[in-house]
Amino acid sequence: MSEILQINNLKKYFPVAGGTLHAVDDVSFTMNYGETLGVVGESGCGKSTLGKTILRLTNPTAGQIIFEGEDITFIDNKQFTALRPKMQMIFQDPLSSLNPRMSVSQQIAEPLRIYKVYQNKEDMEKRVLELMDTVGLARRYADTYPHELDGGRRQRIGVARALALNPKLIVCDEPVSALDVLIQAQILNLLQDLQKEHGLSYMFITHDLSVVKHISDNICVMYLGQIIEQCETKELFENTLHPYAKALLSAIPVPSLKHRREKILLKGELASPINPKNACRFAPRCLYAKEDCFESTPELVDVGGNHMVACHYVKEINGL
Amino acid sequence: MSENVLEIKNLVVHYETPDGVSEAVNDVSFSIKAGETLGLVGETGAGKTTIALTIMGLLPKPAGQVIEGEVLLDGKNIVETSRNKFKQRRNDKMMRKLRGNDIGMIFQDPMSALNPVMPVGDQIAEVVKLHNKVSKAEASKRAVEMMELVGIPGERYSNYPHEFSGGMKQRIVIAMALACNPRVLIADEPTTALDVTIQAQVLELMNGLKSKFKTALLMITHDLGVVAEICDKCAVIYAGQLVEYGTVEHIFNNAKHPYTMALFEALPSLDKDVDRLKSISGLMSDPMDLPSYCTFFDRCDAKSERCNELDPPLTEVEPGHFVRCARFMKDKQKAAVSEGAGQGEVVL
Repeated sequence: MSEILQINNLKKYFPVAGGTLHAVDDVSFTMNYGETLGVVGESGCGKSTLGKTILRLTNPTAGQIIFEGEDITFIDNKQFTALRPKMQMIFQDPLSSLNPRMSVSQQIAEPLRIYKVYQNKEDMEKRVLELMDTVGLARRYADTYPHELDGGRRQRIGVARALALNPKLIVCDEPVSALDVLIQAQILNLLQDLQKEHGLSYMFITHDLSVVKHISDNICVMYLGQIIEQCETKELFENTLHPYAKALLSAIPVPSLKHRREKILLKGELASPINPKNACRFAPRCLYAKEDCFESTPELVDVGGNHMVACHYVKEINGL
Repeated sequence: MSENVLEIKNLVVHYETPDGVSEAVNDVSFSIKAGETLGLVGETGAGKTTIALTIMGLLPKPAGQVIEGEVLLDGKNIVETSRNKFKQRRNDKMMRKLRGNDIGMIFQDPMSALNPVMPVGDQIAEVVKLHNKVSKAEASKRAVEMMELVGIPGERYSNYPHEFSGGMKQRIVIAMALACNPRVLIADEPTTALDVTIQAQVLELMNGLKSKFKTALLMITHDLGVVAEICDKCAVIYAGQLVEYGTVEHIFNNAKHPYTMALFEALPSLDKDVDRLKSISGLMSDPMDLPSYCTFFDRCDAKSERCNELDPPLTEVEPGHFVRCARFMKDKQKAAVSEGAGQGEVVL
């Protein structure tokens, strides 16, 4: 069995004033061991909610989450406690996800302490120092506090905490967005090294397409709670099919004067995810939208070579 | 070619804190002509925002102090280096007239730049009324014009900021900054808080407005992609100093400074496939404790044994392209530096 995670028709709705907010709507995908799945989309498209729902930090509304062959969708907290060491998360803002009153070594030791991994203090301290070496934090920082460190080092604490219990799956929610490019490169390299050493699987949530291209094997592009295009990374960048994914790719500012690409400027902004109609959610901004785009939601279908697209007119638009 | 609208000459800005003096900006010079865009690039803490605040006269007082240098707006100096209270107050009074009228600023986070309890139209009209002798009705008319110019229907004049999305709020901030036709516009990370598709819309808008109004635009960003998109000139700042300065062609096609090159190599590329990103270790020097030699020395992989003795000046390597690196110093400058005669004179 090579699948670590299987998601079937996962839904997460929030009741809000004026209706139901469809944060994650009917999302399905599978992830294999040792693989990195990139989840890309604009803010508000539900990518963080998806990550949190999979780790059961919020409870799903409907659907199925199968982790290592076990259905964990609705198991209670007690049962989930036993699974949590295998699934960890790295958060976006390292300063707000760390406890300001705990020293670096206390932060890293916290998961070990909660799960009572070590019976004596010496072993635990040894493990904390080992973890600090793994993520490239000098041992002299063991007794410092988060506010004394810079963003890159803080993020390394977050990585060390996530690694402490030897997880199999790590959900990385925008782990490098708050960092400068040079530090970003260091953290991305660290994550790749750790993946090779420990055989980790990452779900990498980001809005930065160049980062996701660099680190992922497969990519899901999300729009308003739904996956609209899903395929291998290389395939997505060479053969983009969905009109939204095309516009998203063309909108990235490229740090080069030579490769000027044709820009597709989208009109308008993300529609409201509250009580969406049965229609293609991208239709109001789409250049190719026709009448029936406003009448039914397109299914995510395989157009060949495991390239999944949710668009009524994918064949016509791309001349397939 | 037209005259420089904004010219910064040898600017030195310090923050005086209880723990010591933080040398935020050290000897920065650049200039922008009408209709031209300069991109100011650097990492967090390099001094980008301090430069913007100095030009606006908004340095936090009393910690922030301009030690040396000039900021020339149409050839007239607008910063006060004296600590004399009266001179400073006179300067503040003058700046209050210039801000919003001659110099406009777009801030990074549109939500915190707008007043949450005031309709957006009134916020734009407020700027117009403050700087021009116009009636309330005329100011409102101008505000509606500005809103339509940035692509927001005039009917939304009396909506409050929370009723707009992030991209639209940023458009309102742009409308506010441009309402009095400023000759200089400072944009401090205007698109960092926005999504890529919205960022593309806002950049397109700024590009159009800039050429329409012939505004000199100072674009502060850490995104080299944005610079390639919209700027004519580019200045790379590191630890409060310009390390490289030139046209975008110079910087993007022919980068010379090891730091600039490192910035480009650290970016994941959409066109090329690399297994591992290149990154340099270490951190930027602490502005409280800058070395007397090249500030990039500790992180540089092209350094030679003399680099920790010299403080290299900006050197012109080709017309209009300046680099602060010992490898490009001319012999005359080398002699001057080793004699302890101070920095070589460079006129930009």
